[in-house]
Amino acid sequence: MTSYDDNLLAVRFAALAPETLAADWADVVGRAGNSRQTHSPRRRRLVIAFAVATALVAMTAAAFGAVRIFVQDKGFVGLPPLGATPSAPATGELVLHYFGPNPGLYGKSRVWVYADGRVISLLDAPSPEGSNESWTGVLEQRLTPDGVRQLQSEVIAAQGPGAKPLPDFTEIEVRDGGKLVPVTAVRDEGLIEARLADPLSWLPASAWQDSEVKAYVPTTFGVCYGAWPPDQSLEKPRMFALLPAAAQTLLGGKASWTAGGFVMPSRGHVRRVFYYCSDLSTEEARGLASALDQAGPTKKGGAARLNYQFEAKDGSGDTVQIYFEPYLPHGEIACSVCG
Amino acid sequence: LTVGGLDSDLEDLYRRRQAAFQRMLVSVTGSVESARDVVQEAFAQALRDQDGFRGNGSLEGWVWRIAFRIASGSKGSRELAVEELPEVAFVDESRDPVLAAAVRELSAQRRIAVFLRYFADLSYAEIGGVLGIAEGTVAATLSQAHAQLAERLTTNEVAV
Repeated sequence: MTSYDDNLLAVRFAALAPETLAADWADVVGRAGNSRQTHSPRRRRLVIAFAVATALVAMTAAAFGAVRIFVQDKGFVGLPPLGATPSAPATGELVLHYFGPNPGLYGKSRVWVYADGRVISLLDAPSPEGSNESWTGVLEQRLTPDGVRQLQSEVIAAQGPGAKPLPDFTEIEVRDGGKLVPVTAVRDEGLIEARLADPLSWLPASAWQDSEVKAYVPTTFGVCYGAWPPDQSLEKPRMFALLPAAAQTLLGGKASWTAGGFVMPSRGHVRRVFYYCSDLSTEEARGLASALDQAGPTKKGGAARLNYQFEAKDGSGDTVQIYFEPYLPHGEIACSVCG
Repeated sequence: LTVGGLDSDLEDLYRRRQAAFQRMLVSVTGSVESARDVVQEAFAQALRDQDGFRGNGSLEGWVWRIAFRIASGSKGSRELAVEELPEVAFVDESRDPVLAAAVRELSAQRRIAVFLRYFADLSYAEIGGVLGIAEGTVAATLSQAHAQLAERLTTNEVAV
């Protein structure tokens, strides 16, 4: 999806969510009544054995997790593990960008290739190097200078006579003649999508400086906040006032920029939705996340990107969302949920 | 699972998730009151019939299937078959008629997957457990639903 990403749909659904009635466990127990079966000693022993085994597995996994935290061989969602070394250099010139299908898989793939050889990718699909079952987190590999040229040439050569327009929701840009230009038509769409989504599958070993997949560790995060319903979102001061106090303290002194929005008819009005974003170092982002964790009732997400949802503190019942996106070397934030 | 059996797991699940169960089930039953009644009854049945949980899926998925069976009016204590999954719809469409219209055009399976994702806040694996389909199928279903919604919403709303 593009502007209608997973998070945006979640916010729109949240606006339609009905109020719920109070919990009452005693009522549940009363309904269950006295006919509940008592468990045999054998079943109870099995449950205990299973619990012990589960605990042992969990403890073993935790021990391995403690070791692996410094090994960045898998993607992560949210903030990097403590001690993770940021990708270098901090900035880079983008020479190729692909946003499109993962042939043979589902979901979307995003790939950014830089002049310094870095291939940074993000898939909303399972991967051995992925962060979870649905998103890989941002990953990094590295091409040789020749490898970068081969990839560029592949895209440039795919255009020309006989090319057919790319479908909606597939975006390719390539640096050609010193400028990053959009590719609007290619001869063999399936082939170019497969090659850009997975360069490792076809580029020769000699094209890679380091083909091993690692996590991309940014130095800066874009931290964005917005509200739903969006009436109050047009002006930053009004939006800012809805944030939890902890977020106001940490974001108050930061310059901000405006992320995309859209116009929609809802409740009889045309409205714009904006997110205001500030740039935070990893340590600042870590401090903000820690403060938000302690800020009171919240819904914390994290399958695709770290995000928090709060009830606006003005008592309106509106929802405020704060999400964290890693910056990429060419100075844009990754749209982790786009697709 | 805990050493104390399923009772405490069910109570913990109820305390953490009963609101999500209610939000989702309102879309099936049409009212908050009846949705709450279904949730209470589903957890009560789960407490009563603990041997019905075979442990080959998540506890929450099992309770969801019980709840859907009750909400669908299915008889007996067996679990709900996939083809018996209930229809879901927004109760108050007037708050976002464009989204409501787009969601109405989704197939039944896509629609329930979308509702489970956004009202019940379930992961792909958990949705698979509830619907009795593979996690990859859930991902594909939601991806197709997203694409369909994006197409419909961008047609009816002006991107800037």
